[in-house]
Amino acid sequence: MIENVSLAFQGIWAHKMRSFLTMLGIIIGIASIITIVSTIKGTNEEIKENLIGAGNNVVNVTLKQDNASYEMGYNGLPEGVSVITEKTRKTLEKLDGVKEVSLYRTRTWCDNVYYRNVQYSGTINGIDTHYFSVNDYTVDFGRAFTDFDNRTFHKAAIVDSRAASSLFGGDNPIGKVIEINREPFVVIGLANKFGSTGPTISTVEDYMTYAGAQSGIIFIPIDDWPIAYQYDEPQTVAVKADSTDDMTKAGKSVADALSTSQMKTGSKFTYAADDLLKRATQMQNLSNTTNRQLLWIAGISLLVGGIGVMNIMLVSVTERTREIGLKKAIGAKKKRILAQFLTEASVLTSLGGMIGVGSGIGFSKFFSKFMGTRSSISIPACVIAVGFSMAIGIIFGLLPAVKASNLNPIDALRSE
Amino acid sequence: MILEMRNINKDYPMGKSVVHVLKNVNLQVNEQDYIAIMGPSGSGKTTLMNLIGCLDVPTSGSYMLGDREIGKCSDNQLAEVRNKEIGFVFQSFHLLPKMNALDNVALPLLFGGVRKKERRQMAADALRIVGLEDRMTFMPDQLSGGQCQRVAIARAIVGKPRLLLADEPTGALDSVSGSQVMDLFRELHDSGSTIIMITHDSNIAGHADIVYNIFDGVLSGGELKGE
Repeated sequence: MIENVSLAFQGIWAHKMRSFLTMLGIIIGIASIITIVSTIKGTNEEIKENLIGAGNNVVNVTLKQDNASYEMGYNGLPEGVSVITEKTRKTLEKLDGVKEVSLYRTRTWCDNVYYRNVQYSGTINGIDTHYFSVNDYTVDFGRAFTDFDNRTFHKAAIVDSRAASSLFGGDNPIGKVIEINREPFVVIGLANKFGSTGPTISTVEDYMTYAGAQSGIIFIPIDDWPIAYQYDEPQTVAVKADSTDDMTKAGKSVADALSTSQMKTGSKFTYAADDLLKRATQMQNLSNTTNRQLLWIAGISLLVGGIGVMNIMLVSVTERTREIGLKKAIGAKKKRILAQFLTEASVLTSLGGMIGVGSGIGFSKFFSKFMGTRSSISIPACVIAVGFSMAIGIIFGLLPAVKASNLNPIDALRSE
Repeated sequence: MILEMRNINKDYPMGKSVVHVLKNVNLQVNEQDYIAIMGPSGSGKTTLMNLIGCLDVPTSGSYMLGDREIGKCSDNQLAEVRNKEIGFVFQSFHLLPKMNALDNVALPLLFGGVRKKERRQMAADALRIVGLEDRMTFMPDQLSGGQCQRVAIARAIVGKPRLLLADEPTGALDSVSGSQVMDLFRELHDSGSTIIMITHDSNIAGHADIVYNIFDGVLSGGELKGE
C-alpha cells in the first residue's frame, strides 16, 4: 500500500503539468466549497455574536403574563408571584448548563433622576452583587456593590460612562449625589461593559432593547429598589450559560424552575427566557439557504473535475498497457493492478483536494479582507473536503482501474 | 520431469472460422534441460511460449507444470504460477522505465509478497550473477541494450523459478551483446537452471542442448545434440 502511494507520487511528479491540469477541476471545486463554507460559518458567527453579544452567553429570563410581556402597573409584583430569594438564586446556579445567575430589576426611560438640575433619561437597574460578573462589567473607578450595601440599604449608585457624561459632563462622578424619585444616592463607582461590541439593530424590537442602553445605565443595589420605587417589582434573571450552545437549554431550565417555584401551577404568570439563540438560528438559516445553492454549483465543478480525472486515467491506462502487461506476466494479480490505479487516482485527487483546501483558505481570507465579509475556517469541513476528493478519485478511478486489471497480458505485452 | 505437455491443441476463433494454431503438441522437459524451440514466424511458437509460460491455457490436452494442472487454474492461480515457477526473458526486455535496475529486478518479489529488505538483498544477488552489481541504481535508459537484457535476466532468475523462459532473447541486440547474453544462459544452465528458449535463429538455437522445431503448429525433433 505504502509502495503504491509512493509509486503514485512518482507518477504524478513525472508528469507534473498533466497532473496539475488534471487536478485543476478538483482544486477549483474544493477551493470554492471551502470559501463558501468559511463564509457561511463566518456570517453565522457574526449573526450569533451580534444578536447575543460576543462571548457573553447571557440569556434573560423575565416574568410573562399570558405568554406576553408583563405590563407592570403601580403594584410591583402581581398577586400570587413571590420574590425570588437568594436561596432560590443559588439553586438556579446548580442547574445544568448554568454558570452564574444574577437577579435585577430594571426600568428603561426613567425621567425622575436628577443631578442638580440635570435630568437623566436612560435605564436604571437594581442589581445584586453577581450582576457585573454575569454581564461582563468592569469597575473603572470607585468600587462595586457588596452584600453590605444591600443589607444596610446603602443608598449608593454606580454609573456607566454614558450616564456619567450626561449627568456630570466631564466631572469626576465619584461622590456626587443624585436624586432618584427624590431619594439621594451617592455615586460610588464608574463601570463599563467589558469589550462591548455595538449590537446590530435590525428590527424595532432590537431598537427597543438597546435604545435604553445607548443612553446610559445607572445601577443601584437591588434591595434599595423599594426605596426609590416603593414596590418589590418583578425581578429579571440574567443567566450566564456555560457556552453559547447551552444558552437555550440554560434559559429554559431556569425559566421552568422559576415557573414552578415562584407561582402556583396554572397561574397566568410564567417565567420565560428570551430566545436569542433561536432568533439567531432563524437568521442563520435564511443566509444558509442562499449559500447552499452556491455549494451545489461548486459540487458540479467537482463532478466535472472527477470526469477529467477519469479521462486522464483512461489515457494513462492505454499509455501504460505494456507496463500492465509485464506486471501481469511476472505475477501481479488483478487486485494489485486495480489497487495501483485506484491509488494513483485517489492520490491525485486527494492532492488536488489538499491544494484546493489551501487555496480555499487563501481565497476566503482574501475575500474577507477586501469585501468585508467575515470568514471562519471550519476544520471539519477541510477534513471532509480532502476525504471527499479522495472518494472522487476512487469513484472516477474505478472504471480505468477495472479496465487496466482486465487487460490480457499477451495482448498487453505485444502492444507498442 | 518438471513439465509435461500432452496432446496440446490451441484454437483461436478468427471471425467465423477457427484457426488451429497448435496441433497435438507433446513436450517433456526435465530438470536442467537447455531447450531451444525453433520456428519461423507464424509457426505457432509464440502461442506455444504463451502456453508454457502460463499466460494462456490450452484448448485441449493436459499441461502439467510440476504437479499442477495448468488448464484447471484460475486467473489468480496462473498469476501465482508465473510469479513463482517461471522466469520470463522477453525480446524487448520490458523493463519499467521509471524504476532503476535494482527495483526492476525486485519487482517479481514485490508481487510475491517478499519483504522489502529481503527483496533488495535478493535483487542485488541476482544482479551480481549477471555481472551488473555496479549498475544497480541505473535507470534503464542509462543502460545499453545488452545490459538491459541482463537486468531482465536477473529479474527472471531472482525468484529462483523452476523454469527460465526466453522469447528471442537476442532479437533486439547486436551480435556482441547477443553472444554475451548466450554465454550468460550457458552459465546459468551450468549452475543448474532449466531453460527453454524460443527463437527463429538457428545460430541461437545452436547454443541449446536440445532443439525442437515447430512448423505449422506441429512440434518435432527433440534430440540431444551431438549424440
